[in-house]
Amino acid sequence: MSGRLARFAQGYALPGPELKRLLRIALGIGEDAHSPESLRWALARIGDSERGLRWLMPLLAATNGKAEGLSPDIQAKLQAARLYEKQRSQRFDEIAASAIAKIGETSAPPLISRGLALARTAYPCREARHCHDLDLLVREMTGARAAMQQTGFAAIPEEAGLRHASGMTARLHLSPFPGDGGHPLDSAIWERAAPFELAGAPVLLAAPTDVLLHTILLPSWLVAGHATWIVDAHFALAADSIEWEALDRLPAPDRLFAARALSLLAEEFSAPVPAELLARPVKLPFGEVLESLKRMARWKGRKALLREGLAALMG
Amino acid sequence: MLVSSPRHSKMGQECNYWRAATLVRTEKSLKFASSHRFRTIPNSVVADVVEDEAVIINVETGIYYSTEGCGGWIWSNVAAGVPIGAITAALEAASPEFEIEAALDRFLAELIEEKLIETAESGAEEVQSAPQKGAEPKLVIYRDMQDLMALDPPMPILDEQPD
Repeated sequence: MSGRLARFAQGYALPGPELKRLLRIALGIGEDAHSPESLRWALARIGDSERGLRWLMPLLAATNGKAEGLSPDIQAKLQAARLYEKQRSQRFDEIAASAIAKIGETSAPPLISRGLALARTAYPCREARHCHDLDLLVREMTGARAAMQQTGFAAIPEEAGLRHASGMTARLHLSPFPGDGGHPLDSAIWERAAPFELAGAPVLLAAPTDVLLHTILLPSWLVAGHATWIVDAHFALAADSIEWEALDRLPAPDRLFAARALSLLAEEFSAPVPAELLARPVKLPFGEVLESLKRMARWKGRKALLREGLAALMG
Repeated sequence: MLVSSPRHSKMGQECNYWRAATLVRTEKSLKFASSHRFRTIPNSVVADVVEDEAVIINVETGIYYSTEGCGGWIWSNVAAGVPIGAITAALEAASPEFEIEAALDRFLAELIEEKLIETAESGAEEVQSAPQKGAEPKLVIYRDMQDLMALDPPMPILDEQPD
């Protein structure tokens, strides 16, 4: 990794060498990804509760379950992990579908993006993507929350989220990103979405380009990032209908974040990003950056990241 | 034959495996009538069989299992409710190098003991295919599921049970 990118990675909560290797094995990247030694190494780390990496297990099982030379116990572990997540994700989607259908009875269908959208369209199988909670974009918040509460969800005290009787949590959003709105993707994601069916419920599915942008830009708002964005982006980038010119329409800081994220994905995870896009310098008009900084002043993490990103770019 | 009044679990479901397990503890050699059928315990057991190898999860206990030998084939047919007599006959036709009745009884007793199967009233009449693996059936038990899987809710099936 180049020095500039390495400095940016620190601010963007990107993985260190060990997590990077784990992700590469889980994604099946590299010559040794499917070797029994690599899988044993990965399993030992995923099984360590301190690392919080169990969400990788179903993906590891989906990409490596049929690798040659695996011992019976490793095969059983991978198969069991996949089977468990298959059953769990079926239940997850049924609960989600029930809530989505109820919301759709009184207003526009909700929209799914990132994790759940990719799980249903881009991952090798649904169970390869562990969805911790349900994120739905809605047109209107009050009615949508009321509808959710008719399907077994209840408000979580002192939090914006909802919890189902099963324990599954959900969050409703008016915008793909935190903050006070005003992002170009706020409206574009609805305009470009397509009808989809989730376990029988009509829902809107974000367009592949918007799913990718949502996936690689959301971490820039988060103080503590999570490596799921890398895995999601890996599969989002596999779509053959990515409109790369959409990057040019992003606000200045997002152009920087997107460019850096794509560079990292290409360099470290062999992502299929067009070479000319990676070679292109990111233009950051000063006035636009200043305006973005003002708008996002209260998002401390994002501001810090932008500072890191600018430093990296100028470095 | 297993004869006992039904017991009820804490979830309110009829719990036939309990009476079977009780017998396993008192009888070394558990014999089943050829017409006896089983099924997987509803709402707590999920399984997948790939190339005659089964992986079974008891979601209620958090233990998972794999099979060796012809265990996966037996599991498929037991779970489908095929009568024990039909399973025994198919195994005999395959001429395996183990004592069929004793091995089958041991395997079934273990499945009962682990609360994976219970007595069923109906099911498939015939086995779907001949056993491909001729070795003695074995059940391998793994108790490290919590170390390996993200067990955040929703649980796969348990929360659909009635109170």
